[in-house]
Amino acid sequence: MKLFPKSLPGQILAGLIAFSLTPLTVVGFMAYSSGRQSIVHHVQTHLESVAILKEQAIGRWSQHLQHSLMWLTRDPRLLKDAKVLSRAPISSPDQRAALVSMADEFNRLISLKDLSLISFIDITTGQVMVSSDPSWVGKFRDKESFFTLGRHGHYTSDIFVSLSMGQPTMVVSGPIIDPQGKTLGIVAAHANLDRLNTIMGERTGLSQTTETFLVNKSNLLITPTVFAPAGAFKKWIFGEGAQRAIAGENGVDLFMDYRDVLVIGAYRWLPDRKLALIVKQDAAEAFGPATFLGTQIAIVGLAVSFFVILISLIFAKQLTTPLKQLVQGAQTIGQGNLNFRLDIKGPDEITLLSKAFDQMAENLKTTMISLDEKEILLREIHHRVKNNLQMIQSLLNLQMNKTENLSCLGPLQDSKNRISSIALVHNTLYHSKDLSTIDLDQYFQELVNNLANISRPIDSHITLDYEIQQLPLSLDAVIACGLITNELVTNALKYAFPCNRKGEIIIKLIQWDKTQALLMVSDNGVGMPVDTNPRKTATLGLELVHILSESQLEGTLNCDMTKGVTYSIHFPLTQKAEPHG
Amino acid sequence: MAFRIILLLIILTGTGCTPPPPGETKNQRIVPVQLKWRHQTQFAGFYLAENKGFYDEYHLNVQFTQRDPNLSGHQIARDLVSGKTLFAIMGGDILLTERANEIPIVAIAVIIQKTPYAYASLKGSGIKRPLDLTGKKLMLPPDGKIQHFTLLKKMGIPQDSIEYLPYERNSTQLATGAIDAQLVYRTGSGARLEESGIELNYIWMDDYGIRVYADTIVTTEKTIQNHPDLVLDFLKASLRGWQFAIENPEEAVKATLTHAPDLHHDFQLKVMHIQTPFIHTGENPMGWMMPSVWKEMQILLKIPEERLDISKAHTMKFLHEIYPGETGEQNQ
Repeated sequence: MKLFPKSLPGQILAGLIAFSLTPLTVVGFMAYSSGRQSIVHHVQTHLESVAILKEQAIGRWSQHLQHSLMWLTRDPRLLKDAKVLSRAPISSPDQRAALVSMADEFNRLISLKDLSLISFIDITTGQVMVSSDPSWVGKFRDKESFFTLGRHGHYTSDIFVSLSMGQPTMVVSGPIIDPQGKTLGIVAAHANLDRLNTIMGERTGLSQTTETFLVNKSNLLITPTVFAPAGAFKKWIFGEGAQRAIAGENGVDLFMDYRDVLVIGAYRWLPDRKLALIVKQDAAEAFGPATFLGTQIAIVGLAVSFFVILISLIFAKQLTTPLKQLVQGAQTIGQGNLNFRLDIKGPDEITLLSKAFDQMAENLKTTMISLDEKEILLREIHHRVKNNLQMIQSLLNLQMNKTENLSCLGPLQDSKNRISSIALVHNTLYHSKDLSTIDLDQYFQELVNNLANISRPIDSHITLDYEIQQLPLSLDAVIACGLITNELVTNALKYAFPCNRKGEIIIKLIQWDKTQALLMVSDNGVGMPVDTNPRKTATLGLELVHILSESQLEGTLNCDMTKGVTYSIHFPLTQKAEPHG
Repeated sequence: MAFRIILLLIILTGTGCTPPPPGETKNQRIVPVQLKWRHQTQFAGFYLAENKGFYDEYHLNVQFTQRDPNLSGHQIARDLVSGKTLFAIMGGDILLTERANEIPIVAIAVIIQKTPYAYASLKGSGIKRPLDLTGKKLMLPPDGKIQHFTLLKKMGIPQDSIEYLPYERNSTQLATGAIDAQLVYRTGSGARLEESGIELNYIWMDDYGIRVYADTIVTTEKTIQNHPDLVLDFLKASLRGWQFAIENPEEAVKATLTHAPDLHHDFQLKVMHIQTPFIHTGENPMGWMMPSVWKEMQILLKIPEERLDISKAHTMKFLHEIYPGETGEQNQ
């Protein structure tokens, strides 16, 4: 399959389309690529900003909890109550009042919604003494980290599901220490994670597939997500973003999420909370504008392509129609219709070319008419030469009929034959379609047959054999070859086959080699006496043969008498001779 | 099945005193596992590891055997040592008791991490804390006595202040009012009592500092020594099955029903939801164990250190391989 079509219209069309669509495609691709990159950058920046904002919000929430605990453990009223309660067993009215006072304070703080449960734990036994949830009073928390570690300072737990509370929580705890440095008990505050869920669930400015969620270091989902609304603490997340964040990395990238869906996402590791924060959006949605842009570019490109092809077709048609007409005109004129004219109107170069073509056709027609006239004239000349020669033959015939000297008849017949051979050339040319070419085979056969009809006995057993090639010989060379053949064939007919002898005469005119032709007349007759020198013979015929061979044809004459007589003349082939005129 | 019969013949003829090699090639590793109880959602993670092809990925052909009620914990431990089974799911207290009796079995992971024992009483009974049990009629299961009496001691409640009634399996006495409270296994008898339509109030052992590891994956020292890859593979696939079970409770029940078609789907689903917070709370990875809890259990069971080196009763080797870098501690 060829890349470009062969026809001119096809090439013009292909060229125009290629030259117009290539830059269009490149510009379209660059526009799409740049647009996509810009959108990706925008989405990444947006998601990263969301992630950072949420991280900051979580940090502020966490700090607020810790500050609340700090305030609690340093609250003079709580300190006073703790001091009273530290004097176990609880029985006195003061102690009961302290219990109520502390519980009231805890409940007041709970009403602020940041905390869901607050307990005061005995420093020695780990038993809950006061709690915002009365059912917690009396329970032991001696084995819990928020008690064992909270005794020594402020402690913040990871987020986990509390079996007692039946819900996820995070605990901040710390000791209440009196001015003398004595630890009076532990305050453990369970955070209300609604605030955290609100922070993570805030979706202002987020798209339909954007998810923001937290994952703990065991890959457990901590907060609900768009695609797993009930998945908190029941689903493990092994997306690439979560894995990278758990490995301590912060970043924004394209990656496969936990659903094996390609997303653009920001991931951050929150070391204080030991949580991975993921903000991600489905790539399909994120790239929606880029896809839309690409579609628009493709539609515009297709429309432009359509118009380019249409315009190219029109242009190619406009350009090539006159050219086609020119070609058709040339073909028509070439077929001989010299009256054909393009007659194209217009101001452009094609029209000028067509006008020039028409002018050329007109000139050609004039020339051809002139040539025809000259050909007719030339043909007429040949005809008249032939007629004149025939008249000479007729005169010789009359002379032969009137003469009483029989010895004169032979030479007269010979002369007549020679004139006949020349006349035959002109006659052949006169009847030929092309005045520049003689049909050599026809000429030689006619010439020799005429001779045979005259000279061959009626009951002759002599056969004639020809091998004549159509060689590019001048008129002079043809006449010379004709005269030579006339002489040699006449001799053979007269002398080679006496007594009605059976035999063969072969006439050859062939190309000998690249530069030479061979004229050969051969017979298998009785031959000549052994001591005969053909070059020194006194007959006019053979003398004529010598003269014509060497002077006219500039060739070399050879005579072989080993078997019959064979004359062969090698002469140079001339270029195609000028028209025989 | 044929392999198990061959195993049994080897044991009976006295030639099976060591665990059989778990298959000549990796593709043929047959792993007999003794369950802690009858087929139910309590073991759904294992079933899912089987159904989902997790065991196949490790070239394990796991064969579960549900527990015959007459099969003692001691016999389960003996079956492990004899090689009749390669793994067993048993209570952590049984493990420590058998270990103290010089049975070389070792915990490799804990599935039920939170103590599922709780005092169940009728919602309106007013029994909300252990002290409220004073003067009340209580039914105690045999395997809960140690935890109960330890709690009483810790709370300073005299043992004789409570009236104990003989234990009956599948008892309905709480519903009829014949007893005031019953120590229940939350995912077992507790769930069944709720299924009868009564509303219950629970006092959690865990809330009073009684921590006991329940369903524990146990094998032998010899298996760990001779086939550590098999132990690791089995644990990896099992924990993955449990993770899948929590993510897909409906599938967990379906997998359970393939082993026990007679079970009631809705009830098993309910149990699956109930047991999830006992299996994981987000504090630690699935299956995690803490030495401090094992130590507490030793104290609870009153097993002296000279009889039990608690550090040899469990190994964190495989969990550390599964969760590299994990050093989790527990909150409540």
